[in-house]
Amino acid sequence: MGTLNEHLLQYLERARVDELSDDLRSKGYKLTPNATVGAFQVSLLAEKPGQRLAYEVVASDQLQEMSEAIAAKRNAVLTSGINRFLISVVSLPKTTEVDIYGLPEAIRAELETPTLHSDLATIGQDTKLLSVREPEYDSVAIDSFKLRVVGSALASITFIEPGFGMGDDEVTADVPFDFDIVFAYAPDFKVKTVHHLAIDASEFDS
Amino acid sequence: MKKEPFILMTDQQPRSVNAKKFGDYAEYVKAEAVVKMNGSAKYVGKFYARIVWFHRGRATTDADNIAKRHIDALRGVVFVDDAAISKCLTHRVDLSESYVLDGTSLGEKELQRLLAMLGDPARKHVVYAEIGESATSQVQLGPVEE
Repeated sequence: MGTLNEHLLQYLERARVDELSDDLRSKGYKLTPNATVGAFQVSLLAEKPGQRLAYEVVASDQLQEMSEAIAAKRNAVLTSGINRFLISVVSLPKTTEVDIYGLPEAIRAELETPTLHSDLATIGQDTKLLSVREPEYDSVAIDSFKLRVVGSALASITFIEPGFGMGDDEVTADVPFDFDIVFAYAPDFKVKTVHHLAIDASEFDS
Repeated sequence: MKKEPFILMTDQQPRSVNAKKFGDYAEYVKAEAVVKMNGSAKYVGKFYARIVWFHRGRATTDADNIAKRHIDALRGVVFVDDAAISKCLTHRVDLSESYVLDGTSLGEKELQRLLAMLGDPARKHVVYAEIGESATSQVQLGPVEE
């Protein structure tokens, strides 16, 4: 079974072959994906009278280790009636770090106001919310007036666990939750609309 | 018999003529070219120059300045007189985006070397310079896409 990265590379390569195919088809080429040319397989073979083009699609982070194999393949397919050998290098998507200033505090205020969210309050005795932390974002939609964020985070809480005569314990725990929230920028950055807020307190079910 | 093209691949950041380090860069390109030429005859008559600058991420130098820098550095080593350049193509490629490389005409070892350089994330710049005889009198108009 491949790793996630391998799956991503395969996905990107397939997408690139599709893009190339659309362009070449519009130019009148007959296309054969994963075509065998001599003893080698190429990602895409494009043919029309007098022209046979072989495309090898490769991810940019594999180019270095595959350089020798690609050069050897190029030599072999050019002796099998191919006119041109084209290497399509696919770049990996750029990772973008997103830091939304004030988001944990705004969600915390939402969870505490006017009273502590019932799914947190019922976890234990005298439950208090310490912080909202480690937000992860699935999507962020921005316009001039508001920010809609879909993601997940952890609510750090503390509560009293009765000791039944042995003394009570103060317990600290993290509770995961998913959210889909619209935030307003002004006058303060705060929650405007909650589309979805699901606290997963299953770990504390008795 | 047609002379084989001269091909030079370097991995230093191209410098502007006005940059303080331009002299160093020109000397570096010249020194690399001397090694690559290995005493072979310089180009005379009409020839073409193809300069491809691959860079990773943002770059501010204009593509048209790159050709001038390399031609200045290669003069006297690869060719005698740059007035004999009848065609000159400069191409700037951002390696953080997808691209298609036509690997048909390059020799196997040189293709392998170029691919290895382009795939090496530690190399922020790769400059491919090719000088070759210009035998055709064909004048092509329109997009330089093909």
